[in-house]
Amino acid sequence: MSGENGTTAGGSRQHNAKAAAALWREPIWSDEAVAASGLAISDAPLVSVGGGLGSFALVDFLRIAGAVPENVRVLAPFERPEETYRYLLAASQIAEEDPLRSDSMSRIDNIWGWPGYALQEAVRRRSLGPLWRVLTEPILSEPFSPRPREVFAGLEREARRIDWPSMVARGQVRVVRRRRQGGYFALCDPLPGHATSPAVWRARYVHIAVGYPALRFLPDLQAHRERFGDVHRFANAYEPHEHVYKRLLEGPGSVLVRGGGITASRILQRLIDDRDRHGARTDIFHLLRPELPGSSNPSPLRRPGGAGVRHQSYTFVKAAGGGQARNKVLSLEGEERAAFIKKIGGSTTPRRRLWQRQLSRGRREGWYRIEVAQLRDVALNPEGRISATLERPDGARTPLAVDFVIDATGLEGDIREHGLLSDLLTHGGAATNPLGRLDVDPCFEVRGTRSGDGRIYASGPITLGGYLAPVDSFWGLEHAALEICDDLARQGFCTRIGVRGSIVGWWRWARNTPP
Amino acid sequence: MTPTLLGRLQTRLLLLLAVGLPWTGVITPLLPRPSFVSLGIIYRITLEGIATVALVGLAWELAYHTLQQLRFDKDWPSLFALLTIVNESASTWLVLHGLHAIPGSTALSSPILEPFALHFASTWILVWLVTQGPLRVVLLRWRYEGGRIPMAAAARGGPGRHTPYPNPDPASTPFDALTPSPRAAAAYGPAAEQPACRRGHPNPPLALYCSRCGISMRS
Repeated sequence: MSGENGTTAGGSRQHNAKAAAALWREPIWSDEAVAASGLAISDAPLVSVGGGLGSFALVDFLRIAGAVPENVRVLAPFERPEETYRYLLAASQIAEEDPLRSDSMSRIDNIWGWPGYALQEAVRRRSLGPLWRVLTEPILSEPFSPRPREVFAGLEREARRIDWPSMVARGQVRVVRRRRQGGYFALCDPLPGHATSPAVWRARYVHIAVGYPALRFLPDLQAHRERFGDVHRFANAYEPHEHVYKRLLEGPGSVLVRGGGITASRILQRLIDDRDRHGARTDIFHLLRPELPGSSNPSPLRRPGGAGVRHQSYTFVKAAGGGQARNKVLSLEGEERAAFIKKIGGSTTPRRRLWQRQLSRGRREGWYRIEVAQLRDVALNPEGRISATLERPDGARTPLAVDFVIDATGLEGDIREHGLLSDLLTHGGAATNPLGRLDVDPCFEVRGTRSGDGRIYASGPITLGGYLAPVDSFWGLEHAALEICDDLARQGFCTRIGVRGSIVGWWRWARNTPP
Repeated sequence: MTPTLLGRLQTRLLLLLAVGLPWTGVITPLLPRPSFVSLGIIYRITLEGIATVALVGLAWELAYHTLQQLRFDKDWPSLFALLTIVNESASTWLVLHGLHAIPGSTALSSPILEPFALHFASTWILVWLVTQGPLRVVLLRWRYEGGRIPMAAAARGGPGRHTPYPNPDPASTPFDALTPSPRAAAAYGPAAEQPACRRGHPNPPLALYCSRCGISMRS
């Protein structure tokens, strides 16, 4: 392989495609065909594709269940498991000391969830506050939320303990194809800047945890960017958009924030904090979708809500993780399950006193306005600002000109936008569920992809709509990892973590000795 | 905690057996007792107290489960689990008198009240503390199962499948993306100045998602 063709980095894909051309057309690869293509083959009993928190959760379980590092390879574009997470937090305005939307016991670095983040924070800050919060939540106080600082510190410690770096092989997995003799091949591209040849991993088990396959750009955002080439004025909340805040500190300005979820809340907080602390004079328009009216019924059976916003502590009702709602999701199939998952989830934001106070002050003082409308005719006007029309549910249309639009409507892209997943759907036998994500069974095995004694598992947001609702959370990643780990134990890859194994494993965790 | 009804019942019985009973055995001789009451009688009271909490508690759990249905999150906050000591201690006190396990009146002046209350409160708080964390270490799956106790361990698995497939090509080299071979380096050249997404849209070097179409830069 390599040498005779492709002399620029841009040519690397062609080069790779050419070398694998014969293979590319085959949905099932044989050892001989791969060897003949000249690609280097490496072996690992299990590879986890992605290398973020989803991979980390599974590898942590597997190590505690007795898997040795040599048997696990993490194919990842980066070395540290929290890198993508850190990026998304920073873009969506969550700093190291800000509350996340998670609870104390959903620990990504501790499979038992005890001691929780609250206890760790209490020790660090020498304060009983966090413990009081977990004791009295959500009755007397707002639910406790861990801070990124705690999460990152825990991840770093656990990564070192389970010897994460030794399991990471850096690269970008393009496709996973079935192997004729059982198991799979994962074709791994080198990273840009790391000039080396593509390679093939041969594995019995493949775990796919590639995170959010894409950002969901609403058609108007996409059209605006295509038409004006402008990524500056019409920003997406999950992209770095610090320039917006910087410009708004320099002089009076106006911004339209679209979305009723937690990211919109956090962005509003940043804008208002900048007003309060740094003297910004920003007028804020908050655009909410008309089809999602807030619940005005205060009954405890209904989700509480305000004007156009629905309040909920976590992305799904709490019992979706391991209680009544989880049992219900487990018992439903197809469209019914999809409908129930939509009902207990959807776009919501927690009710935090700080936010409530800020927003009602803004309404009173006239610099914060809620608009329940659709955004139409977005364009760049001659002054370089954004002009648009607000179309209200009753048909009334109001023109609007703002300096910036920040779109916070969602981190949900189509899984077909992702090369690896789309290939798995086309050639790997995988299918989508009614919510359009990968169809997985209750053990998170991707249905239809079996190959001999091999299995493909998936976890994270690409499995939304399966038998567990909150897949896209610390809890969900851990829960999926537990199910996968148990399934792998049934097949003899590792041992099942029983009572004794759990206690011993925890003791080693507590002592910070290798599992 | 987000218990299911079955989980509530199983957790209660397990904890009273595994924590409440041994604790009662240890604490009972240390309880203050009126001079006219023998240790045997106190043991009878505390042990029957545990049995009552176990049995009458099953009815209480039904009531709690019903109340839980009124909560949007279908959860049972820690505070509730702690504060239900009030109604359960009262019901146990009354039931033990009704069964004549405790002699005398149910009034607060009863000389038995002090040992009863100390035993009840200490046991309750201990059990509550265990459910707040340590139980999750002993029973890893408990919190994922709505409090249910897995009755039988699942199949232990077949023969070890943790070995790689036999390698037909011993000459193949192990993959190491961090040390480029000179040949590959010559083929690929330096890294791209400006990365492009799969559809060819140019993006800033550290972008995670394409700024034009939103697809992952790593797909």
